[in-house]
Amino acid sequence: MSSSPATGAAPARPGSVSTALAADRLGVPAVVFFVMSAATPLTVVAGVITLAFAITGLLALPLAFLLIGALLALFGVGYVAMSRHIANAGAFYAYISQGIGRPVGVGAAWVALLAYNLLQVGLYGVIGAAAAPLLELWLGLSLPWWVIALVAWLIVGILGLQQVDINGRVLAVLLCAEVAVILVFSLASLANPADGAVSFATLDPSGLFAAGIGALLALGVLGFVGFEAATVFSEETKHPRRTVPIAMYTAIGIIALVYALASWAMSVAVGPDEIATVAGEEEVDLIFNLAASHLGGVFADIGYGLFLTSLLAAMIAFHNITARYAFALGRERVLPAVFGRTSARSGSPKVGSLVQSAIGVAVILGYAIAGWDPLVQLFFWGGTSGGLGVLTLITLTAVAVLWFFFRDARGENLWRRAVAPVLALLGLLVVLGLALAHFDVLLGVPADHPLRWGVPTGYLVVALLGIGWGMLLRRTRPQVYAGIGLGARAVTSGVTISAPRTGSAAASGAAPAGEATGVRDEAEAERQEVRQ
Amino acid sequence: MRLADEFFLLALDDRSGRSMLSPRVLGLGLAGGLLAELVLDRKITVHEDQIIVGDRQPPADPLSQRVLGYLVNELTAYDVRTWLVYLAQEAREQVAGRLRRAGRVRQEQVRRLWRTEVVYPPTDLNAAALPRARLVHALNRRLPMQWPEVTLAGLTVATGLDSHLLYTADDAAKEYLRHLITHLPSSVHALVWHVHAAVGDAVITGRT
Repeated sequence: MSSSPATGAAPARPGSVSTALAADRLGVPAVVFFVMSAATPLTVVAGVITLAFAITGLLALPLAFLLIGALLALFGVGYVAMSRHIANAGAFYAYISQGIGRPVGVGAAWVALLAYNLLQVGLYGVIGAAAAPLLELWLGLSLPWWVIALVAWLIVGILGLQQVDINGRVLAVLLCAEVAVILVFSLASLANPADGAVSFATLDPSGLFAAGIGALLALGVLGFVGFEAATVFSEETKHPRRTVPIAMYTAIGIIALVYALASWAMSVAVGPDEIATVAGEEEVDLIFNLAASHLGGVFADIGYGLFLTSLLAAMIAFHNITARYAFALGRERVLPAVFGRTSARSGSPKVGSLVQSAIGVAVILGYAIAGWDPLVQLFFWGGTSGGLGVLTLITLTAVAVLWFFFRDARGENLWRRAVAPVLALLGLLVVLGLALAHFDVLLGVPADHPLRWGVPTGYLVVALLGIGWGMLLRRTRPQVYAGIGLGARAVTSGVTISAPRTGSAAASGAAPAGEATGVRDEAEAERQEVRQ
Repeated sequence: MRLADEFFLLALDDRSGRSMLSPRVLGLGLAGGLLAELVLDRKITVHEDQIIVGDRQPPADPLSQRVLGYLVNELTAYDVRTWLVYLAQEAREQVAGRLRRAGRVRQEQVRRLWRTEVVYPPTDLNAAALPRARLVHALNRRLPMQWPEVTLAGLTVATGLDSHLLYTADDAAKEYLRHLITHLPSSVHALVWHVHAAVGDAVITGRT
């Protein structure tokens, strides 16, 4: 836009609109950082990887990350291609609504709300373990985990209402620091192998055929959750056709390599034979203890500090994801319209945010009162159950992509619309099947534990209820039904504003003054009615 | 007073001179207001997601003239959404400029922690509160309203500002507002809808 003062006719140069808009649009780094803000590497490395070794007792974790990374990249081909053709492109259920069908889309939306809530709430279980060493060091305080969790909950709740996504630059610095710390810790681990020799046992492909491998593959998926958000910006990037895919593949590549390296290095430093036992004893402290012995206590403290910020960033990211999901569904009227309201001052999806916070505090207090283990039973179970939900959504989305382009190619080439989606879908079905088959290994419970089938059944029930609700909407509220999956652009979008009427606009011309008498009459008539 | 000016004052926190809306949402509301002015001046119409310029004669108001200039001189046929996003970028400064020249607001710089911020406190508190009072009064009493007033009310709903303005209003007043918005002429109705959808998308992407 020209910077001259607003006087007189300002001739706009041709192309000045696109130039001005481009200045406000996001480039690859911004999208990568946003995507990785939910992935938060140190949370996964310190929390998920150590507990994965401890609970599953399996070794092939580094390979699982590489394999899942490759599979998700393949899935991403069709996913990004479809994102260019649909509204509300940041949410799986939008793809599923517009690819498979609206009732399934509603089911998927409800599954997504449950899964992302599990992921978010699970994080409250680990923050205590992350903060305890620092509180001890700085203040000599030792607090119960749930006190720390409640403080974190308060911070997340307030920032969520303020619509504070942590400032992009702060996030970028934190993320780079996290990745740097992981690299330094990992290299130090590789330089200090147990028994004096670097072991490649965890990289042995035969590990992928171990019993219970589905558990590791599901954990692999958990590490990548957040990558799907790249497409939310398809309309806000400088070159949507390039920026979004490049950012997504970059994020997937970084995540795969960093996690594979970190999990391999951890097994090298502890020794593949010992890793399950040691990880079980030291839990999330493992990598910091390793760092302390290899590099010195200062490094461990820096690591703890970043672990804490990483967790907070992840909590805020998942809080915002769930709140915005609820907002989009409120705008569609699939959830009550009140979810579609924003806070005027901050532009936050306030009702979704408040409800997510309410769920969070209920879970924290519930676990505190029941005395359940926050690390395994909240963080790990919440995370893995959430991961299973996201894996299910990814698989359904793969079906949706295929079906969407089968009906209409929309100018996409064969690789993007058919070959890559078919291969991705086959791979995802295998991973999902194995994850379900080995879900007891994933949770680290006996095969007859109620959660073993309880979690998958829970998702199924929620999905079926959603599908039922979708079908009910088709019969009772066709207008709402038509808008499912369209987010803010749903036909019934909003509390009082329906979609523009088509047809007479151009013909009638702009004659508002003339038409105004019409509303006067109606208003007058209504006033009469009110008086009577 | 022009429509975007009234929207600016509706969204203005009188005492601080800040906006009650987040920057991007305010921008979208003002952009909707600027385009609505051109619709009400019978310069443009909005058909679905396209803007059609019907009358190229410059309007009397310089800012409207400038906006129409953008529409006329741009070679690419952008949709309503793109124009809203484009105009939203500098809408606050431009509308505030118009209000300053009319002597309705002053411009001040305030320091807030580590950055300075431009605020626009009204010169006359009573005058600034007038659009709000008039709107709330009309809705509560269910008075007949002109299209510009209804459009203005529609923009407050589209931006979520209505929850601030109408928190004292009863259900009947809200129902009356809903009724009025539904019957807006199609061009302004489409504009209001597009502002609402753009605000929704801004919330979903977290860029408000």
